[in-house]
Amino acid sequence: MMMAVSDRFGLGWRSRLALGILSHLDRIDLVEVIADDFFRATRRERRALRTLAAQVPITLHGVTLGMASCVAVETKRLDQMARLCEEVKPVSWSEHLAFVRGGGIEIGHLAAPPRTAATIGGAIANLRRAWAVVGVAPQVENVATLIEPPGSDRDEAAWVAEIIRNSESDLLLDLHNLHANALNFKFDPVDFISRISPERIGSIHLAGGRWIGRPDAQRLLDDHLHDVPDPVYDLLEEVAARVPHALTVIIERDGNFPPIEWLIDQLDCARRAVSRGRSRQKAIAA
Amino acid sequence: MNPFDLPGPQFLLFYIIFAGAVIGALIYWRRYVESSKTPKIDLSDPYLIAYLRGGEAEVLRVATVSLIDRGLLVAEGTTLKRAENAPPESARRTVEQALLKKYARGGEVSSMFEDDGLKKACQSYDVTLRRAQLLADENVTQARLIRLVIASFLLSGVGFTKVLIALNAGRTNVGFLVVLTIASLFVAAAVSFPRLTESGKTMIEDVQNLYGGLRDRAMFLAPGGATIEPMMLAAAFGVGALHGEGFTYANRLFPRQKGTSNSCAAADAGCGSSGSSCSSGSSCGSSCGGGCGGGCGGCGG
Repeated sequence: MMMAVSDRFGLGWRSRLALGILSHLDRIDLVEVIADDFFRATRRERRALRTLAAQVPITLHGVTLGMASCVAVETKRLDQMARLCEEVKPVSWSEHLAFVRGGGIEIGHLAAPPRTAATIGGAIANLRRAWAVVGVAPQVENVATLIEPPGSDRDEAAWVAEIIRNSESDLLLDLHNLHANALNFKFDPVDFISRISPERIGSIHLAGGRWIGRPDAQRLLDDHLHDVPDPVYDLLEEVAARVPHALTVIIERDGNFPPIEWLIDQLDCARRAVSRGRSRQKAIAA
Repeated sequence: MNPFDLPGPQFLLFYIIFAGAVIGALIYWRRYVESSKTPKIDLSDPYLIAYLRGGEAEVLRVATVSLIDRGLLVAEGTTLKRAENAPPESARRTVEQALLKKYARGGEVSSMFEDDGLKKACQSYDVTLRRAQLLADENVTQARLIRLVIASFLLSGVGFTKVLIALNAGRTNVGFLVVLTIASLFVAAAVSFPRLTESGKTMIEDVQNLYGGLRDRAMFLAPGGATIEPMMLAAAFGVGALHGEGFTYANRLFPRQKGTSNSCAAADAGCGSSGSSCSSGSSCGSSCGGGCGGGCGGCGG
């Protein structure tokens, strides 16, 4: 397979997958750990994470900072992320372009904010603060949404592209989120990809989902409980055909766990998709 | 104030505090110098983990359960016998092959722990773990010895100096101090040579934390050798952690005994927590559609 030397493929670290992951480190290049689980962890639990990091490179993924908001990210949470990064020395860290609280209420959901100049400004300010406190700029992930954020004055691609363009953060492009939004709101996901500077795509998330809702108003839900569908691999190939540098590709699976070999096979599918994309890129360059 | 001028009872109190400080420093010194950078070892090898936790005996327990689970050994009461049509070559690992050879004609379970051939079959784990500085190698043992000599010099020096002073002054009531000095030397020796290095102790704790999810699912781990999850559970926490119905024989063959390392409570490193951190984690949660709770960011990530 033709891939850039350091394209990396990994899985999200989950309790149920622990033994499977550690048994297949010859085929898993890195793991993604949910950072927030360790913000209040005991010393012993954090040390176990360091031990994991000694076995396999890890990347930290945040879910509760709430970057895409006009409200400033809480300093305490950024400090916790900074401490964790200092302890674990991940290869990168990331957060979502979402808000997770408002008016003091934790909404327990990665919600897409209105796509306006105000939320762009808020997100850029939060990302700069995160960069300053943690010392490394986070990669930021596009989120899935079941409704178009009310009050938006631009589409998702324009909103994401502007945040990326005006911040130091690269994009963690979640291709299943993109796939789901594209189906739910009827836009072309390849057009989305073409509107993001390829140099600014740092990592890729892959996942699966399911259809919900009435037959006449169905929505694809990104639930991380199902296999990565074929169109998402096609999008991965598309990204790999454009991005000039090495990619990090993570498959997220949060439940309904299949045997680990099944997930490893999906990683191999991802490898093949990247390989196809790289071949196309090389052919165009030639 | 010269402590040697203290009268008997006060000097005994001083000596107890002094000995405590010396032994505490000895422990701290050992832990400090033996806390090396976390090594990279194969955390998916149940036998390596079992050896780290409890030595040959633990490897043999886990290997026995594994062979029974795969139908290669048959347990009847407290005896084991190789299954029909299960030649030693049907197992891949050296220790498994050695067990199948030993029980070709049947025998008591307990006899495995005295079998030199079986102990030899575990030697590769010993070498790997010593190389990773998780078990004490020659260099570590030598360093421990030097520290013990220094501590012993201090403990006996202070104790016996006072004894000499007392005898010179014509007092012979030095029995308590002599006993206390000897006892402190014994304690110093006892704390100086644990089987695991500090790195080894933390490694087994970390392994227990990383595999905490296995213990949470112990009741549901299925027998039949489909996965190595039951074996890893036994390796990390002891065969006593195998609670599932399909593994009742494990506790019958290796009943928990006080002072053995069969249960995790008796292991060198103690039990790990059930691992709420390393064993959890989800960027979305499995309840999407029904709403995610707590600090989880919910669906869409």
